[in-house]
Amino acid sequence: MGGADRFASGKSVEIVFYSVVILFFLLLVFAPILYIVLRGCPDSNAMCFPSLYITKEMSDALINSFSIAFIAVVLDIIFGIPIAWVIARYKTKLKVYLDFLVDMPLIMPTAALGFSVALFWGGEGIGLLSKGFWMIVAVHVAFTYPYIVRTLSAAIEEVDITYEMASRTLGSSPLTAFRTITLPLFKSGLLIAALLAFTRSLSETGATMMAVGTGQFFAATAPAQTLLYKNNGDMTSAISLSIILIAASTILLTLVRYLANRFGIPIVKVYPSFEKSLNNLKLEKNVLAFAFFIAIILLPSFYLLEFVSYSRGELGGIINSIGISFLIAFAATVANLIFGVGMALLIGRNKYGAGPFFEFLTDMVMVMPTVALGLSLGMFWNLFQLDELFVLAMVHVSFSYPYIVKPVAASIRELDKDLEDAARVLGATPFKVFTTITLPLIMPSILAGAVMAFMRSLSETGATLTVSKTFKTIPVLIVEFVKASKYGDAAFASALLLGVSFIAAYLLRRK
Amino acid sequence: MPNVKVANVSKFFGNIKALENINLEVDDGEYVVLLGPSGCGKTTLLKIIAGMWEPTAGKVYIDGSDVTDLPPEDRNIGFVFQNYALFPHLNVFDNTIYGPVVRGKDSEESRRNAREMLHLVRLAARHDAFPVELSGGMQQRLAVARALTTGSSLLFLDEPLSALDAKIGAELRSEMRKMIKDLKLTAIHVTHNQEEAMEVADKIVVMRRGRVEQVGSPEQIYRNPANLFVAHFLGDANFIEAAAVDHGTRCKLKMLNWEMDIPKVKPGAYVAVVRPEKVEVGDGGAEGVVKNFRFLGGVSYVEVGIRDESVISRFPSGREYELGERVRICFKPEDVKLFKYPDEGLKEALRVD
Repeated sequence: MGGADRFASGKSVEIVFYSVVILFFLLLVFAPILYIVLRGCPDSNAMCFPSLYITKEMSDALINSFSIAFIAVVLDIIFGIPIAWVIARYKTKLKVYLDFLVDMPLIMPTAALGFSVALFWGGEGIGLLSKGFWMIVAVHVAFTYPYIVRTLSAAIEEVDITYEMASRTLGSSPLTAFRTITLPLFKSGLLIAALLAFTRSLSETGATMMAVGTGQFFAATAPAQTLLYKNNGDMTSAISLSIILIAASTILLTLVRYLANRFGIPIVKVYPSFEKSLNNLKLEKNVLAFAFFIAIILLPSFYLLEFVSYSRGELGGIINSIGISFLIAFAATVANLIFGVGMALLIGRNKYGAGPFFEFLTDMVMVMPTVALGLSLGMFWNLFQLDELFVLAMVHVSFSYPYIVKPVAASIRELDKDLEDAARVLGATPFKVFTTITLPLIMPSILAGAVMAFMRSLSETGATLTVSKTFKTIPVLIVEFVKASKYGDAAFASALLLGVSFIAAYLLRRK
Repeated sequence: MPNVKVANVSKFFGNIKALENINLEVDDGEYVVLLGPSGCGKTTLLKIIAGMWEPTAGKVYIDGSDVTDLPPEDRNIGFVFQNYALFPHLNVFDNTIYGPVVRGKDSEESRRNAREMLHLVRLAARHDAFPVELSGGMQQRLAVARALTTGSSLLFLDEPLSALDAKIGAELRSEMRKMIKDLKLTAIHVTHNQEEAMEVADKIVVMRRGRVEQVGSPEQIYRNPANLFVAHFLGDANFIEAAAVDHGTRCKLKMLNWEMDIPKVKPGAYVAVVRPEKVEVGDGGAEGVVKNFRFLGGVSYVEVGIRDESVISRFPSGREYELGERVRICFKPEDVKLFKYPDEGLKEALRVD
């Protein structure tokens, strides 16, 4: 047992470690986000809360945001459960393919995805929708779907299959067993999935911008409206709407956390023969869900590949942007790995009884609309006249932080404490226990979190748009192309990024 | 009235043969125990009969009709799971009434039925508790009550007592058998615990490596084990290497440093199986040295080393022995079961896994 181990295991080292972790979070991630609420106006010399106001335009945008998020989540859940079920419970090849296909829209930057979906449904594609409210719904359904299916299938997988079997031996058809046993047992997973998708929908900007429409069809979500205000130089309106968004998402989060353990799914009456006959439709039901997935999610998401055209003049800019995107995503992920895993330990172990408090703050960061976040961070860091690239990286650190902390904290909480005690009894110092037992066991969730954070960073538009001036990440560039009606170039840039992401994902998976 | 028949059932998981050509009959009202070491295929067989898994080949009949392709909910069975699988979000009463509810029979009569069943398993007072609030024994009883409230008279029990403390498990098993017999149920019970099997079973099916080794009443199997493995798995036994030598009119069995007259045996290499309670420490027989002596309450046992083998004798407590003491042991020819010396070696023939 080395002296270094003993030193690293000491109480004082632990306190210093967690202090650094907490300071990083509070000063560099959390405080800058709330800066906008404290300051309240663009003029850096004054505090101006009275400027907080709401116009008809803003309330329309807010109503749009909430109704679009609600419709998208309901559709996602209805059509997501069967697919999540297949991924969680089937052991066939189908599961492997589905598992992979469902994640595909996640690889796509949301701006590109929104662009693609709008092309698919709009005049350039099958011409069923024109830009506006329902087009935004179609876009939001597409990019929130993977979040719902991912979370749901994980939740279903956690419900011991023996419960279903027990229910079957007592006379339930598979459908009845699902409704009366499995569904109530993974209701908190369902709620988390719904919350995640809802807040993602509420906060998404890049994808929405592709579908806002013009004239009488114009419909914007609150983040899109915020961005429009900012682009038009109306900073006081942008800040007002941002503050309202931050407040709304925090209230929503509090509400869901409060409700999570208080609502139940009653069994009510069972109609055995009816449910049994429904169950016989199982194949058709799966086919329907599968068709929905292909037609509403997969095809629209990748429809833009039809439009790829290559113009030499833009290639340099595209490659440059891809480089910037990867650089920022990499820097943000590494920073979050270093400090986020520490925070995950603090939350998962409930150190100093501060676990729930920091978990709530982390959740707040996660549900915060990224436009508001970007606006606030931009104002905060510009106080110090810092380099634009650094500010961009800090913005990405902030919004991707929870994507590492949450899964790692969850897996630390699930870790069997006996394993660590066993290592201690065998003579390992706390530090040795961490490096030889804890770390290897939570490594899969650290990797998963890192991939997730990286992807979120790569695909984020709204937050980047609020701070970027000269440096353009790839989603920003795609938005610009679309605005200039350079569809071919937008498609080309998306396809190129997709290709690079695929190779990166493949290399990572092989490891 | 339920009877169960399993015909030529096999189950493969990839290349692994979990069950090979199993045939089994369970009569109406019979309490059958599938006994074997872990991995012998007993739970697989039970789950195939219950309809949770499909056999790779073969048929399952319940009440004379082919149920091989029927899902579990249509087989009208009761099943008690190893870890009970009590629904954590339903209280004791709702767990109990779950079967009738999902069959659309949530009537006053079935509610009365459920209450009676809870009464029977002594849980009526805890009807509104949730499973996590119950002790292990209570959970086990609730699992049985829930399985029986469906009105099925065919009950499957998958290691129903293995999650309990030994003492509670031992108490519950006689209670369980009595209840099953009182209700005139047919039961198939899986366990790896031979004591539990002996106590509850009308008929024991000993399994090993996906095959049935022997079927019979506890007494038959104990007294007349079909092979070395069965003798080893059910109860304690001494396995003594022996050789039969032809002496013209009769055969002599040479073992240890001793010879015994044995009628009707052909010359060859054997393993002699003798239960410890049949070994007497006394004047005649083989001479050896006491290697171990333990007092276990009502009985004691002494282990006697003879050459490089050792023989255990179990006897009602009374005499005590010193380590190193020279003693003689003997047993009667009729208490010896002879098996041909196995080709794969004695150790391999007895191997439990």
